[in-house]
Amino acid sequence: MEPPAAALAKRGEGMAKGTKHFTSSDLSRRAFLGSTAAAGVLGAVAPSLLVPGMAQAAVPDGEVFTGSHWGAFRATVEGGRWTAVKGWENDPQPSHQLEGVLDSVYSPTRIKYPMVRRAFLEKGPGADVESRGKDDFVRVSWDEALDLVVKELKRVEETYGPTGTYAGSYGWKSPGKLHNCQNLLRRMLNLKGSFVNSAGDYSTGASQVIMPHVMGTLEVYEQQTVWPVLVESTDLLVFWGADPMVTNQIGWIIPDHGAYPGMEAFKQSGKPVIFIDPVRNESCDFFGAEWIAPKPQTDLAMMLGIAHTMYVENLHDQGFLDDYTFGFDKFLPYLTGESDGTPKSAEWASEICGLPADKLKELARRFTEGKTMLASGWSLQRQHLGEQRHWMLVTLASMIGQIGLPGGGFGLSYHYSSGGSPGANGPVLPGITDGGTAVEGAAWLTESGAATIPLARIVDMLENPGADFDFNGKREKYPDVKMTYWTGGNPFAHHQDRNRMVKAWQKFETVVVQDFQWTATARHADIVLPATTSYERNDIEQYGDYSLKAIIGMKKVIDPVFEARSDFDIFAEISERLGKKDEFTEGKSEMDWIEEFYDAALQQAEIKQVEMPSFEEFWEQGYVEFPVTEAGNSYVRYADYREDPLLEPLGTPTGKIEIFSRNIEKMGYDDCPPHPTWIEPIERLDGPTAKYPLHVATSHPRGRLHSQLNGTSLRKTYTIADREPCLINPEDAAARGIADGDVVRLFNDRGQMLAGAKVTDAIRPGVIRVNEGGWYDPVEPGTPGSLDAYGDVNTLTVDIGTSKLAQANCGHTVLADVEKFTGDLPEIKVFNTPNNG
Amino acid sequence: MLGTSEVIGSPQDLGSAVSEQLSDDERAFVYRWLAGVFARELSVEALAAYRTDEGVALLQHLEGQPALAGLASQLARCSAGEGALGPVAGELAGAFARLFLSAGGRRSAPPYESAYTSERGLLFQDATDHMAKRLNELALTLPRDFPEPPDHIAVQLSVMAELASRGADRGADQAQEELIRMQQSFAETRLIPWVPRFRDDCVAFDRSGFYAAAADSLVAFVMHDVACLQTRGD
Repeated sequence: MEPPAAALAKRGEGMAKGTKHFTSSDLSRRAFLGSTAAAGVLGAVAPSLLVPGMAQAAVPDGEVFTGSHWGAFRATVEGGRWTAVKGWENDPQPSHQLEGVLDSVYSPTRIKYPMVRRAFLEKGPGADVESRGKDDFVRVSWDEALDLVVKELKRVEETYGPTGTYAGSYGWKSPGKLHNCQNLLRRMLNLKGSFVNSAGDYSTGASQVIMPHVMGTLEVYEQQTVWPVLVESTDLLVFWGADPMVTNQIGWIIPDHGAYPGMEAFKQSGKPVIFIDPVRNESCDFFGAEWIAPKPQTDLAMMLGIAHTMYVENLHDQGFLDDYTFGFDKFLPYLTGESDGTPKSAEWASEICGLPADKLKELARRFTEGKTMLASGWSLQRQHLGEQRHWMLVTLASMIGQIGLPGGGFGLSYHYSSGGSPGANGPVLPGITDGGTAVEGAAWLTESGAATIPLARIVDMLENPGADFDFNGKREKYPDVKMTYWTGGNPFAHHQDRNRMVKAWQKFETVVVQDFQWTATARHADIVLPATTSYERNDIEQYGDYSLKAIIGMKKVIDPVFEARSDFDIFAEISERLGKKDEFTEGKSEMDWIEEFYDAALQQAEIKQVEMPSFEEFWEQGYVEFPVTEAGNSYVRYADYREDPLLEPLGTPTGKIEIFSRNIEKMGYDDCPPHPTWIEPIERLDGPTAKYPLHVATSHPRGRLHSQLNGTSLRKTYTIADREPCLINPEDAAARGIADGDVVRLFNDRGQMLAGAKVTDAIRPGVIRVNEGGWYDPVEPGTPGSLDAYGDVNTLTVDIGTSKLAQANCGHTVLADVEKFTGDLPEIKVFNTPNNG
Repeated sequence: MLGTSEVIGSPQDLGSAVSEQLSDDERAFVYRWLAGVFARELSVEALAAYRTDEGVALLQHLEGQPALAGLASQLARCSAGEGALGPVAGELAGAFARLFLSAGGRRSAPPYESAYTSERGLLFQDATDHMAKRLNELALTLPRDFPEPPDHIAVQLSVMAELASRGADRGADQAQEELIRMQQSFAETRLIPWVPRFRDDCVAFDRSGFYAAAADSLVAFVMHDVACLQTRGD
């Protein structure tokens, strides 16, 4: 194909050639500018931008009710513009981040037009891939852009076969049952041919693979014993590596924020709360809780020490272990040291986790005194060998013996999407599917694609096509992908070891990114398509990830800005070019689909005898609520199993809680033994392989959703010296001559980044914290190893699998050092808002 | 690279260097011409138009205006010779996208009043609303193929062109005086508060030199024109 630039040049050749010798000195300026000749030139170089007529505001003034990852809200519209936002009156605790949602829609970082990287446009696929991230982009028409996308999809499929295109496209896409960009992408690709898919996610990658072996369910995305039950029955609430006040702000669908009244009620009860965390976080302060700060990544050793104390002091519930669990007898010799000569005593654990042995013994006693709820966040498993941590937590809870009792047991989702918010008996809304085959037992999962990789292994895949990889008992080969199409995600934020990734990304001949703003990923793409935000299209979604308390009509707030198009429309257009439009749309419009989803829910409601209005009434009202039921308000996780373990067995091979897994034993993985086991991670604070003196905690931020909204005015609520804050203990700061507010450089052998120091005793010595999700802002774009000017902590993290079992990411496994930055400060370029500079 | 930006004096210097006032027709011409530069990328066709005899003559005339000389000479340089214009257009399109379409998510100069005058530096803020109302008062609207908010610099310059053109060839009657006041008021409320900062961003971040020069000429011309309107209004 002729490069477009050459074609452009050809079009210009027909024009008359000018000459330097043309003189007009005898023609007065006035006469010339008023001449027909000048008017002709002007017409060619400056077409009129004003035409007679009156603009019509397409959206009437008033309030529009809709929803988002941050909650349901009312948007004020004036003159076609969205001017104000306020949380839904039925939301008990609207997130302060809603202001940032409005900002993001009108951010100067919006992708306005379809764009193509210039070298790609002029020289074709694979051109100058090392310049991705710094190369120019040029605007093209939608037709040109979509023709190019389709040409590439076909070329890659024809040249490299069904595994040539990677469409594992992961990330926090916007909610909405129709404009689910990732399902729509794969729906289109299933019509085209095939693609490489991904499995898992970056949040719970390790836990969601091991928990089915242990508990028979994913566990991490399931309803918890509800808050009113905790308030009533729990005597000791333990948050282990979690910051629920911060992270419950967001939900995968539209959050109901139901955990907040629960947490408030628990606080009011005056019952004790413990936070186990290297940071005395916001939630710990909220509860006025006891703070226990072990060395990071040593939780498993700490739990073993507590378990050992329970066993030797006979505090454990042998009856529960006998009746409800499998394999404690196989784990016990390891715990006592009978099998390896090392008793996992409190003293042994103390050496590793840095807490006094007496503290561990005290915890063993307190955990078994009354009803104890062990509520763990996901940080524990987003670490090297992370599978083992939640497995050991379950083992500890089993020894306490309160799983299935009101107020006791363990929970892996109290910090997320308001797990434990009492539920309603509402229907479940279906959504657009990717057209793949439904996975048995999990209607929301489908298996599609010619191959699947554990998603955090993308860089391994790019570096080692054809190499073997292990994953949950299977051994497969990495496909040789040449193209990727990414939508609803920003891997240049969520993936680890940025510098390694920047280089591996060059393997792609073609990168298509569909988003609404210029993320770092979009900047490293070849073809960039402008999608609308959720607020520029109609959709429908449920409210309350676990409670399902309402269905909300996500009404369009404003018309699409610039040339943005909805995800459904973009993929429908691509499907049309593939000759598959009818198969893609099934002949239905946006509103047809929304009504169809609603009507499917309506049918369920009729069977359940739950009241629901007609679609028209619902759309007019904006939502339909479902009352919380008595059952929902008193739900106790695993109560059924406890009541009758034979009739209500778990989904594990033994039907019981598996403290020892024969299935995992059969896999024979050296890094995932068949019962919870302490293994040294690849690096940890004061560990045998430690090359740097500080652990970097990479927790979820308070003022954004991962990387989303980092480009908004919310940044003012948290930055220090205009950079991501870096919490550092006064002791560590003093040793390095760092003062509060200083710009500091964090570094290790993987990368380097700047941050703003916050000297505080709310973090233990030896640990510093930089939240994940800071926008990647390399001083030298496209150059691996470049200093990051703003604070993308994934410049420092390690990119290895948690183990052969789950192959999940290890975003919390990172050692580094920090120093006061004394060089010339590179300016932050990534937020191009003049007034925010 | 197109080369570095030429050194251009401050607008104040340029203003005093202009000895002759332009007619309203000429002012309308210049405003519309400037609008064209910022409205969208220079196409191969536009560059070719500057290569025609008429185009060359036009640039020569514009180079005679001290405020506009920088931009006119950049255009003359870009369209000079007989080589293919595609690569030049590509280079300029890249610079345009980087500065005005926020490509690369890095240093840019959003060509919208809202970005410079709203508290949070956002698009579609009060300035957008003001401009929408202004266009309605003038019974004008934007064409479908220009899906930009009305506080885009090119729209504001087009409004100045329109007002100047409405004033052309009228005697010094009351309507003419009213039109001059309208133009003064429009320039002072809608352009002067932000175009110098917009220019600063263009100068700081433009790697092509072309748009730095264009923004310099823009500010110099607006400042000069406002001074002239002031004289006429007195």
